[in-house]
Amino acid sequence: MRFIWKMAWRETRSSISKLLLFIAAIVMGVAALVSITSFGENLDKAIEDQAKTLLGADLVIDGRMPFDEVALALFDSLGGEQAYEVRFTSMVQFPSNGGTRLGQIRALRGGFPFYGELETIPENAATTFHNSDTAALVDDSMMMQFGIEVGDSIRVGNVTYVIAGRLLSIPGESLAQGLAGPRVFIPESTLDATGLIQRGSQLYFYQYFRFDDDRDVDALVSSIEGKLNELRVDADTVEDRKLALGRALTNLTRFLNLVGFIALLLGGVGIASAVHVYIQRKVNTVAVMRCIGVSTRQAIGIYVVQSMGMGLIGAAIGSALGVGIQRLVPIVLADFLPVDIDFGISWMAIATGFLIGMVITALFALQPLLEVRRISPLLAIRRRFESGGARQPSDPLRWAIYAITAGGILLTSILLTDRIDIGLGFFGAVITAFALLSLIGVGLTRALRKWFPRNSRYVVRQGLANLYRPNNQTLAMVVTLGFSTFLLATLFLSRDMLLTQLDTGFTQNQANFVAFDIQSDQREGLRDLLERDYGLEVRQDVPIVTMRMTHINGVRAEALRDTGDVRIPNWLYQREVRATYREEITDAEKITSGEWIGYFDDFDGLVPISMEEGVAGQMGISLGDEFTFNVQGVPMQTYVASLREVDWQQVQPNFIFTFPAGVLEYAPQFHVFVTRVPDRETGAELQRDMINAFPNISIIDLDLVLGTVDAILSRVSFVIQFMALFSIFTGLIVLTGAVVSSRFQRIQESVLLKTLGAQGKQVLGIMSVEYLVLGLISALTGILLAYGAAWGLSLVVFETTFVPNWITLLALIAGVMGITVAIGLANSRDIYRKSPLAVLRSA
Amino acid sequence: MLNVDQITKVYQSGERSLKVLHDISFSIPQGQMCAIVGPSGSGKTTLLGLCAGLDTPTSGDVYINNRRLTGLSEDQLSALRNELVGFVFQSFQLIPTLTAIENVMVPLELRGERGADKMAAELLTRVGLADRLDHYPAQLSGGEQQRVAIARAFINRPVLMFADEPTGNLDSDTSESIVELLFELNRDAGTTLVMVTHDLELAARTHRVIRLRSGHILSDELTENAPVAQQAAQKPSESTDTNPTAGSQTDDASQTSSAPSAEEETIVDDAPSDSTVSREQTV
Repeated sequence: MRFIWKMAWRETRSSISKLLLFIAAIVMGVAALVSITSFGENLDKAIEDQAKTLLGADLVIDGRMPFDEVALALFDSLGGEQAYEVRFTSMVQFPSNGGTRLGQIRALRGGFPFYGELETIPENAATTFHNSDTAALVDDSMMMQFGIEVGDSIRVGNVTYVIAGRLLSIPGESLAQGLAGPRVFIPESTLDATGLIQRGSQLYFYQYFRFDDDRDVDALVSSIEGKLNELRVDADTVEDRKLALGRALTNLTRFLNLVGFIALLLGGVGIASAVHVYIQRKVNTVAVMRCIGVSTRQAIGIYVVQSMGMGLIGAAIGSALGVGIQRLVPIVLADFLPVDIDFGISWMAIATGFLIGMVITALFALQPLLEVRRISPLLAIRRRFESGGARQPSDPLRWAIYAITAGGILLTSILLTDRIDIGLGFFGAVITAFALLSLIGVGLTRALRKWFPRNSRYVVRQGLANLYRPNNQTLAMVVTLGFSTFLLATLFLSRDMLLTQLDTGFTQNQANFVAFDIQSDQREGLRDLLERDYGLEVRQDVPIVTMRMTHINGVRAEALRDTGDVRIPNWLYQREVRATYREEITDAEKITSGEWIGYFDDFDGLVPISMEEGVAGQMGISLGDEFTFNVQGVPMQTYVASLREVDWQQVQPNFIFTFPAGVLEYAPQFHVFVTRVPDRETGAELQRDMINAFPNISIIDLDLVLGTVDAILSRVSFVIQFMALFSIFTGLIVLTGAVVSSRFQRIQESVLLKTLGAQGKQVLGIMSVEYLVLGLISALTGILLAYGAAWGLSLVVFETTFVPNWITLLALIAGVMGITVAIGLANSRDIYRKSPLAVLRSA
Repeated sequence: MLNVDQITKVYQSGERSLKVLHDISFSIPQGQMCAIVGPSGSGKTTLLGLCAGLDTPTSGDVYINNRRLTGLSEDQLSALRNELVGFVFQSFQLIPTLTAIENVMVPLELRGERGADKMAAELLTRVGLADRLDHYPAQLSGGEQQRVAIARAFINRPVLMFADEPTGNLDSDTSESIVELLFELNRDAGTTLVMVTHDLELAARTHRVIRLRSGHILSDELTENAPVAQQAAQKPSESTDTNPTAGSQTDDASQTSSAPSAEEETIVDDAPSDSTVSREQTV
């Protein structure tokens, strides 16, 4: 054993820099794992520490309808300190410059948040707000968007408030939550005066509690569960929130961990390839050692010890790097985190990353190390020898190693995700992806060889031939670089796809402007404004009637919910249903079963309605099932006469339930107008005029939506790009390692070429061709896979036709080729610079 | 010492098979220096590889110190080489990542022997490289590398030394000193030497020359350098086919072979093979 250690060290010391480069392949992967796992641990700790601020209270009860007397009595009986909030969306306006925007209004009464603070600039703004009837707090992002300062005014409905401060953060909410609807806090005492609480307004009501007596809030909630259900309200405790948040964040760190693990696996492929080349170069040494009397086991031992030593160093460097990178992760994810993260060194994370790094190194190095066993001592006296018998039989040990490697990867996947099904799925996906990558890589190289450009210039031919040199690492590089390209390309393609999809509203002359919450008495005025003042066509005027679902097939919804025979989604149970009535189906709809009935006026009969098939399927509703709705106090019996398929992507109000014309015309209702504005300026101007005339009307300007989605997407893709970086770096390290390991051979060749009269330029040309083609094959491999993946996504997730953005793809190909050539040439610069004599002397 | 008993070697290449060695038999007594000569492709190197247990014969047996090589596992062969055999190669074959002294130490370190560094330093001093101990092979000239290789070959006090064209890669002056060194060390240690060479002049300086051609022994003769005892004891025959060797060797090899020799040396072998051999040995 001593001998093995000694020899391993002696073999290492002279070429440690080269070996380190192989080992660098796992550094990025380990760094990714350590940083993400540390981050996850710190996150868990932060959630634990800041648990109460996640909710801002000990208990929150929320509902979609105003709390009635029974509810209020219940709240009274609960005691403690309470606060009350009404939340809804509405247009806000900044009088100083006329800017308007759909915001999320929170009318607050009481001392919420009880735990944590509203973070504001200036710092005391929250206190100012709580003590004033005319102050508002406004989301920082919106103030920046409109160039508004503290002290300026904001108008919500009929009331104008002074902005007391910029809202930076709310306990338990992440920045990203404010992107879609910028948050505005106003005093609840002014809510009625805004005039925004009208028919059809979608309101959310919250009652916050703080208990000073250490009571068991979860037990309390269980004890009043029945009452809460009866009231159609939800209770949320710190524990609930912690669980929900933990789940969401576990999913996030799980995903990031897997991306890190992919980088590590790519590094493993690089190691396998590097070890293979290394062993090929050690054949002679091993043969001589065998002659001297070193046993096979000892010979393998030397290189196993060496590889593991290198793995140890790589894992250690990776862990150290990971601890450093860990500080970057929260910056990348800051917008999505509802808690502040403190840094702590997590030994658990370091140990995990370290161990996984070692295991992966061992698994991937072992397989090529087996080649050592087959090196015959005879090679010391003859260069090559014909094997004595027939081909050697297949090696059971090799298959065992394959099995162990696969098992190791599977086990690590399960360990990292903590779930057998996800681990298995990931394992399957990785194997498939690697197999496909190898297949495409091999296919492309074969194709190149088959249609080898025999008539091209010498430099080109030689460069291409280099890709097939003995012990080439072409495949390993294609797999690693290809995988990085695949990740990036999929990301870019999906993003393009989403944006293109949203963009069609502007390009295809579709409606792009939706006004809702229009009261019946405002219809004429608004129609005048649009048609006469702006010359716009009101494309749709959709009536909306709100109602509550009370019975299904004659059974009370409350009772059904307890039995669970029919799955009633929360929104249907707690919220008022918004339905419409009309004679025709729209372009976005298709009847899939039953019969569409456009008119019905028998008030005593069962009203034939149409239901969206997806929701019906979820609920287990079929044709003929009966719903009873309470339409503003009047019960209405209906049955499902048809099921519709709805294309939700069309810019227009779509409905789960549609009624025939003839029964709802006299019910209290409000309207939605859909139109198209020609450009942004007109849109902005129209919004201003509409807000001035009809403050309660909310407007969705698709332009703005598009911008918001883009902002969210770019933050998400920033995270994914950050993770893809690990893979890219690994790919580049593997590339560097491959270039360096073939250096000796390259020096010999270039010297020979120069001796034969080749110019330095030609040697450079040969190498450039080689790396260009390598980059091209890698990029094409990755993009082919990404194309398939994006196509699949378009089918399953985005439900749109897949139109790849060729400019993005071409840019990506060019980028990968450029980087490959740059790295390749940078590492070979002294090779083509060296004079033949200098090399001949040193050789 | 070294007994080669009717070995043949057939190489299979695809459908065709090539018989490289035909029924070769000879035995070399302890202390004898024997040269195997012949043109390229005559089977010299193949024969050397078989004698040293680097490869296995298609049929026939090789015995070193009465230990039968056939049937030993790769690792048993390794151990045997480490214990009994030394190698000097045409292309030196030093391990490039080890310094001169480390290269020499390896065989002893393998056995776990202490004091390897001291012995190695002594041997290197003996071969004239006292000031080169910590140089890497790449920093040494060809002659110096071969001296290191010779030191390495002798450090485990082998009873049998194989030399494969030891001067093939050296200029004539260097060759001369290397040969001197090799022979001198050999004489001093009483080692049996088997040397493959195509240099007839060099071959003539050994005790015995075996000529190979196309896998057959063309002649097997003692030279004038052979000690008188050897000349008296053995009168080499004209060709292998008539060379008196063990006639009907059975697999368990436990019988006494009829080697054509005088001196007796009985060795009880404890090698973990099934062949516990007790036989008379020749000088």
